[in-house]
Amino acid sequence: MNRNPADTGTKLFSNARRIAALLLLWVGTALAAGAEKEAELNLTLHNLTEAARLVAARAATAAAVLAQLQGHSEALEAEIQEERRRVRALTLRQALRVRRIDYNLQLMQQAAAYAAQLESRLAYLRAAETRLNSYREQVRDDRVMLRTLDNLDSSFLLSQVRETIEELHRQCTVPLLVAGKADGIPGLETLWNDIVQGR
Amino acid sequence: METDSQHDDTPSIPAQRTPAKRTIALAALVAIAVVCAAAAGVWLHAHKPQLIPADAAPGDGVDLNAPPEPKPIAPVSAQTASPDEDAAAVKARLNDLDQLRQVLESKKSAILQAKHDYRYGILELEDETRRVIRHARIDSVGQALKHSGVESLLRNIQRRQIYFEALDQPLGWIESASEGLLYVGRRAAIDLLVQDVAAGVDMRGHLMAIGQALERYQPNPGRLSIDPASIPAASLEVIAKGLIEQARTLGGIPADRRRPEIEAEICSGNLSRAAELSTLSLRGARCLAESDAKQLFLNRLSELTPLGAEALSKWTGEWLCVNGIARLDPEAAAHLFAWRGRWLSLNGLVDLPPETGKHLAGWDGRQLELMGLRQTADASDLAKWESRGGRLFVPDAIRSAIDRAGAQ
Repeated sequence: MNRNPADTGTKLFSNARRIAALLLLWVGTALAAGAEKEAELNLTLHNLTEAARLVAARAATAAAVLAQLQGHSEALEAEIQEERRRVRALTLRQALRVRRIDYNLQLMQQAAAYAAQLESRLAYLRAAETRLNSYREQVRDDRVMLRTLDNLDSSFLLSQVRETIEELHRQCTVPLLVAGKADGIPGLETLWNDIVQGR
Repeated sequence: METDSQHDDTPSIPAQRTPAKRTIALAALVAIAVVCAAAAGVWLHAHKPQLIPADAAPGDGVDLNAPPEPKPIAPVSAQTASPDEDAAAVKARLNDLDQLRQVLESKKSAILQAKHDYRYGILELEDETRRVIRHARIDSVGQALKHSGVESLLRNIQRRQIYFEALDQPLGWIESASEGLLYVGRRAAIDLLVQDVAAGVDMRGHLMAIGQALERYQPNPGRLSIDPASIPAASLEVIAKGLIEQARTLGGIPADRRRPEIEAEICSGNLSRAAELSTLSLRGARCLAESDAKQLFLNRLSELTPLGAEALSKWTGEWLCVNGIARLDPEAAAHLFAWRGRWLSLNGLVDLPPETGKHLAGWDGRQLELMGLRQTADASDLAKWESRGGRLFVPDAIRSAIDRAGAQ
């Protein structure tokens, strides 16, 4: 049976059209997936920047309060030094007989306990800032790679970043210190020795 | 019998009722929906679903060397006001603490002044007692106690000594109270500083502590009372013995028979014979200092003791002439050059030792006469005083030394 060349041509053309359509569909799907991934990376970068801003603000607050506490402590210590010279107190026992020294040492203990907690939080927040910067770099690198290859699996990184940001959001809302916490309170003897030795 | 027209009308009745029924049905549906929504709201409110648990542990994938997360400590006392309200209340109460401290500090100053006055009063009485002892040639405690004038002076000394000591009781209380208030206030201030970033700050506790301190440290008469009977006073015999000894060995102020009389006049406000004084008792110096005179001419005085100079330094007049003084003890100079008058004549002064010169350099007066000055270890003190704008009168030799010091 002879085939009509026109029919054959029509069939071929039809098949070619189908293949082209499939190809276009595949390319389109791939492009759409790539665009979606890039959008996700961009959103993550934005979230990282916001988180870094939040952490920096929290760290600045901690640093400001810490500086004020240190100012308080220095003023208290200056008063102690003055009283110490005035009454010529050498030992802690002699010093504690002077009410101002006794009270100031107690206040310095309180301030030191708060300062220790603030320093710890500050260290945590500074580490968080470093970590966020590192993530930012990684996400930027992945974005470049994605743009180049149109495909990259960043799901593990993005999940780590998500967890970190969530945790940091949470950590930035908890108090920087807890009053009445006994940890980090220096002993009176230690404080006194530091004052006497001018440390 | 029904007509066609009635049949035609029959379906028209339901046709007219349908919209009304639909409206009712719709309203019922809306009401049911509102009730359901309200019920759901109540249920959600009661169960408060939390997206993030309050005590959730840090994420497993996060390792930032995280310190244990601070957890708020529930305040011990029952809370009726918000933490912010408590903090505002604490701030307001801190002002009350400051005010009470000011009251206490003012009371402390008054007590210190009273102690100073008693101390000076004792010295005055001792001065007078020594004079009477010498004048009456008393050389034993028995004689002193039998002498009515001396015995009276001794009793006054004893009483003032007791009062002087007794004032230490309220003074100690005030100092303790003042320190207590300062401590309570500072402790609260530190917590106010961290309050916005801390958990467990017990502002209510601070409020209570401040309230208690304000009550405990109110300087009421009961708390400031003195108990003279509890002060171990020196006996009259001991006081007399010491003064007889001093009158014999130290000599005290050289005899000046007219002095008691002139000083009595001065103390009663008549200064007409003040210039005749060749010696000055502490009482006399105090009465001169209390006078309203603008000028004092005490040129026959040849000596000025530190205590006498201290008393005179409180005089509020303008011109003090003490040209009979040839030498000025550094301690007396410290008091004399603390005097706030304008014009000082010390033309009998022949020598200006370095320590005396240093006190002179700090004097705030406008004119200084030192025309008797023969030598000075360091003219720079004079140059320094003059450079502050004062007028200095000195002999030519001293002027040359000042010029040289100024040129260097």
